[in-house]
Amino acid sequence: MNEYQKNIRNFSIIAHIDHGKSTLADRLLELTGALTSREMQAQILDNMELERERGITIKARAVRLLYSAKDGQKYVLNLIDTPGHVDFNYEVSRSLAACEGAILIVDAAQGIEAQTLANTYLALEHDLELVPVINKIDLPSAQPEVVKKEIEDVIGIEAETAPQISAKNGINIEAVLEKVVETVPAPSGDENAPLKALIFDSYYDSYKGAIAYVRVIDGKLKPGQTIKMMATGGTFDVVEVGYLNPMGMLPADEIKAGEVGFVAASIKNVRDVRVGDTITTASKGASEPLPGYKEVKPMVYSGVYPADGARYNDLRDALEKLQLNDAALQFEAENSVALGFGFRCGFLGLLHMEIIQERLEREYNLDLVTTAPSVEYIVVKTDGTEMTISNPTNLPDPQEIDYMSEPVVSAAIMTPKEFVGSIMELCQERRGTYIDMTYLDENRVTLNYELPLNEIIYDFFDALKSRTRGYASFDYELKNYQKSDLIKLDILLNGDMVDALSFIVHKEKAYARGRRIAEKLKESIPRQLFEVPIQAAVGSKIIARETVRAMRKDVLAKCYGGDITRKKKLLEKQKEGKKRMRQVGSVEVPQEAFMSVLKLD
Amino acid sequence: MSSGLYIHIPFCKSKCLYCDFNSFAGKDECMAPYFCALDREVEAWSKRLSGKTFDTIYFGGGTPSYAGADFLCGVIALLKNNFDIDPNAEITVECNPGTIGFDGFQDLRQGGVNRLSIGLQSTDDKMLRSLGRIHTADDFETCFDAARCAGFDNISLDLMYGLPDMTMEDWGRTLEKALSFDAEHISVYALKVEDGTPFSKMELALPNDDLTADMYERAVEVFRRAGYKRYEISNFAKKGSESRHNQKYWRLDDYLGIGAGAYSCIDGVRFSNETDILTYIEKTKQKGFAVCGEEVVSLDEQMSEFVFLGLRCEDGISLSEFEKRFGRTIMDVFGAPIKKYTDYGFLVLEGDNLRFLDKSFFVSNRILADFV
Repeated sequence: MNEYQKNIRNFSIIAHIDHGKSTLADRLLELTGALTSREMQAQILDNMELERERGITIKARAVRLLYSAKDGQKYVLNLIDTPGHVDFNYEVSRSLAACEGAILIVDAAQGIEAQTLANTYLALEHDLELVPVINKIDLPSAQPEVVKKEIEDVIGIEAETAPQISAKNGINIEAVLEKVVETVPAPSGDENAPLKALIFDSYYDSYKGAIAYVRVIDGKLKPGQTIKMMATGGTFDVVEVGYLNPMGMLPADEIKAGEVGFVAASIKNVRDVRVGDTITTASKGASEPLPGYKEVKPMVYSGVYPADGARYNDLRDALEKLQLNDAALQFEAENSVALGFGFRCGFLGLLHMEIIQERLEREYNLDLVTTAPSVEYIVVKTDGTEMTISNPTNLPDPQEIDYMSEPVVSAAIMTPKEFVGSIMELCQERRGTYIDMTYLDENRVTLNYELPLNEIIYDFFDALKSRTRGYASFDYELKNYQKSDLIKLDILLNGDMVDALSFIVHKEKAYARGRRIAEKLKESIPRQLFEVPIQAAVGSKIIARETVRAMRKDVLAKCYGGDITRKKKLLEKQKEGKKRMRQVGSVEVPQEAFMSVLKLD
Repeated sequence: MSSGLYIHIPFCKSKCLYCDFNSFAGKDECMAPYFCALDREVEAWSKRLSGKTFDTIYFGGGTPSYAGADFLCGVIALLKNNFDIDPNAEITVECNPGTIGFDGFQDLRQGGVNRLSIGLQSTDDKMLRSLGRIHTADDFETCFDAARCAGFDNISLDLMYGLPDMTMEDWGRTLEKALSFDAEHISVYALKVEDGTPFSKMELALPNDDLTADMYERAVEVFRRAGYKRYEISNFAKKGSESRHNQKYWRLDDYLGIGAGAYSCIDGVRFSNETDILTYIEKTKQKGFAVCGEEVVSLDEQMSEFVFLGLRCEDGISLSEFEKRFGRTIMDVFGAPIKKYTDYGFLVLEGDNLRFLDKSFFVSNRILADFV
């Protein structure tokens, strides 16, 4: 290993949401002079507006920092940020695979949470050296000693010398960098071996095409090379390589073993730059790719429709543009009697879904109607053929179905022990299977459950939070598909079936769910000129019924000369309101109604 | 077609808690200069509008009667000097009990006023207090009798329903009591809590929509039995006593509004005046006019207003008149919503006439929104 490589440190920061990851990243940038605070937009790593608002990182980012340590040497620090949500677990794992170490932030007041632990396990799987850091010591409720002990007990790493910092107030930040230099090993790897570079993120630039963010494991990457993507098989000519600095890309002559940077190779589609894929040279390349590649598959599906049918093409363009930067987003055209033409979109999870929907609305100024999210079911038909269903409307006739199976996840719920009872109750209600329970310390436990995915995509997290006063945290990963007794529940308004409101549910839950949905719809469908019956049906059997009574009062009592302009505005506003409604048969259904079936507790 | 004249008097003895009109209490010192400003505005308009005739004059407020008969009669004289006023013009003054008595009514009568609109609102003193009215039910009765003695034979009274804590029984009593006055015309309004009023900041126990709708239906029924015809959503009259002035608004006739915050609609242009009293006065000093907003009503808007205002009237609208005014058939413009609501049974199309059914009036917004 050469001297340069010896002084490289590749690391990421892992933390539970809100434990201060982005703030610490900002401080590191500031301290190493990568950015002056004047240049610095707060929390530069989260540079999407939406990410900043939600305080979470959606996509990974990386920056290269130069640091003169107390030992007198200069170090290259590559900080690879990781998404902070369970929906993006795979992306987290690829980012971690690009590192040798990780800063583990624990909130001095809140201690270890489910995501802290989930990410820690991921880091340990990748043999990363952990640098525990206790943040928010400025809080009055900070208990650094307790948290230290917790880190040692729960995670089993030494925490006595863990820096105690306040990222917010800039306290003790240098100690973190010193610890990184001291603890995180330099990258191994041979710059003379055949090229192996791990793609841990991608980005679409309208001039340069799809750009891969890579960690070079072995060999060198330089302009002029012909490279090959080992999983997808595409070959491309490298146009530019370089480092990632906070303000953008910094071109370089080459990047080599141990380094982190970018590759631009006139790649037209971000799908050719798959996170987790290995880049090698087209000739005399590596024989084996790096381990761990998998194709990211959506877990949650929902119909996305333009509120104004005329904007269907705009919606398609917007989805195509978002997909340029988000290989995990899938969509295909579908149509609904109630909602017209739209798209069935596949997402990594509910958060991913909300983010995409919000970006479509904000960045592309689209008004959307979305249907309740569904998971992907496997249907085995009586003729032995198998099909996957993500839109309940496409379910074949019951007599054609032999059986169905549904995705099941392994879930870990961390909670103070007093809530164990009510969480078990919740999991029971959600058809969960208890696996085990382990004590983290005297007060906190991890409950492991197997849960059907369709029971948690709706409102599980909200229910969990409300039953535990916000103390429990939750993490899950897909386990397998299991045979299940599922049926399709339909909703009829004024006697007409509304396809966009149909969904698939476990037989035992159909009755209760049907009743709740009918009640919910009654709340969200405004009174109309005539009475509107709402029915929930399984096949031809009505299992629940509600009625929206006819509207009685909607009038401008007084209308005189001076008022006419004002009253007309009022009618115009009302007309606008009507536009936001969907005409289903003779019934006007507000767009929210299609989503209201989501939150049933 | 003659036009209407509206004169706005923005002064009140005290402001009611639900009121969001352009009216003020405690600005009595502005009264004299305000009436001078009205003179200036009348003169300015008279020079601009030649060839228009007017057959209604309406003093609204505020509380015109609070300003006193002298001021009002002065304005009427001035109008007659400056405009071509039909000798049989309907001249209405809005009054509130406690601001005018027999002498005042006599003066108004002599000044040419032939119609009064007196604010009763409720016959229940407790409810009157909670509305912030300055009078009792007895005060109203005294006021009404004085008006009759002074010779007024065309009087309208205003009632409100859907009031805080109001029950159906309360409303029934109010209706009975209101009928006992044997007024020629009755307006009934559902309370609407407007933004910026004291009511909007109070916690009120308002009757729900169903009860309010029941109250409306009760009123329609009670008045019908007593010989009052509903000729517009909120207006009821004995035969021949419909307000000619207000009908101009619903039939898209021209009207000229004089005074602070008054609106005009003349030859397809809508004007609005400065609302602030002092600004209004100042502006008339400089220009004679006090217009601060001017909007040309497009043909599309005129068609839409013709329908949404016309349908408020029990008699509805005439298809041939629509075609005469706009050069297109109504089915050509509004075929779809007309079909929809005749199918639903909320509109009836009969010969030349399109009108609401009984049940349509109190849900009319929902229907009319499809015509804007």
